[in-house]
Amino acid sequence: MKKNNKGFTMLETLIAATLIISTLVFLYVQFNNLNQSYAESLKFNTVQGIHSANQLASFYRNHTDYQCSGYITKPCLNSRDLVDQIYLKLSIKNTILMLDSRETEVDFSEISNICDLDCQTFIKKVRTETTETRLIVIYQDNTFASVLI
Amino acid sequence: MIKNNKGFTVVEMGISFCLIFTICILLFQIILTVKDVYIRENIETTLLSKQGILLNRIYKDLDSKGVSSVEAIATPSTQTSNYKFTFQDNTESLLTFTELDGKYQKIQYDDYIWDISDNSIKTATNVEFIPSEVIEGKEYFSIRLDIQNDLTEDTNYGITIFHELTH
Repeated sequence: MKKNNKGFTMLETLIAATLIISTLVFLYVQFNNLNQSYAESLKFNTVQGIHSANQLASFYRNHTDYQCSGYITKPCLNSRDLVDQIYLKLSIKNTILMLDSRETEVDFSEISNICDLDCQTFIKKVRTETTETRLIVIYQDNTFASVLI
Repeated sequence: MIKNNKGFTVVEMGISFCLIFTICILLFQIILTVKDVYIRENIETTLLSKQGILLNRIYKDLDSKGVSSVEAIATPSTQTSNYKFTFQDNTESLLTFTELDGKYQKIQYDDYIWDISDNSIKTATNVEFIPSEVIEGKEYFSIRLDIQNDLTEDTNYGITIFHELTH
């Protein structure tokens, strides 16, 4: 009997290598997605974040003179001692007020100085099809929370 | 029949070992990463759940009953800090922080007890408490205790409450 000592051809090796690499890439992508969504769940709308945001929201609800055009950030409200105290006590870095949650395309260039990529991802997630005003709160520890006003 | 006794050359063996070794290291690193992520996320989930339960209970009382005063209660033991919430319906609730060896070990609000005696958990050395401060004509109180974990130092699992007092 004649023994086959030829080994694998280049094509066979390439196909096997491609399959193995594809499997590893697939696993990596799945794991990465899982890890990312978990990280987001820890950063977005935590219990502490929502309760703290509610404190600020109750201020907005009681003060109807906050309305400015477009997005409102802290500088618009700097004159108010209470807002400053709320920011300090609850470790709030910035707030964004979305006057219309239906905005199909939020102009992130307008708020890019206070809203990083994580923040933009959060806003895209909480954007709804309603006309209600939504308060986005950015905390010092880079977590985010959103409540309706 | 001629038997093939050629075997592998040293170079083939060397290359095979290197490849297998590299793959083993990569797989081992993946296993270690998955293990670390599992442990970290398990701790984070547990801490966040307990923090959530505690905060939900406190805020439920604050928002539904309306708190009229919060005061620190002196106790014979220096290891506990008690804060008494008096609500508008004249009911009272007690928030207790129990300290041991310079670290808070237990937080209790009414009948809910959060045991944080795990060694990997670090707490602030003191509770920041302001019973009353008047801002723009309204009275507010604040309580803050930072809680962190060795594995996730950038996350604060503690409680931060800043709420209006209603008389």
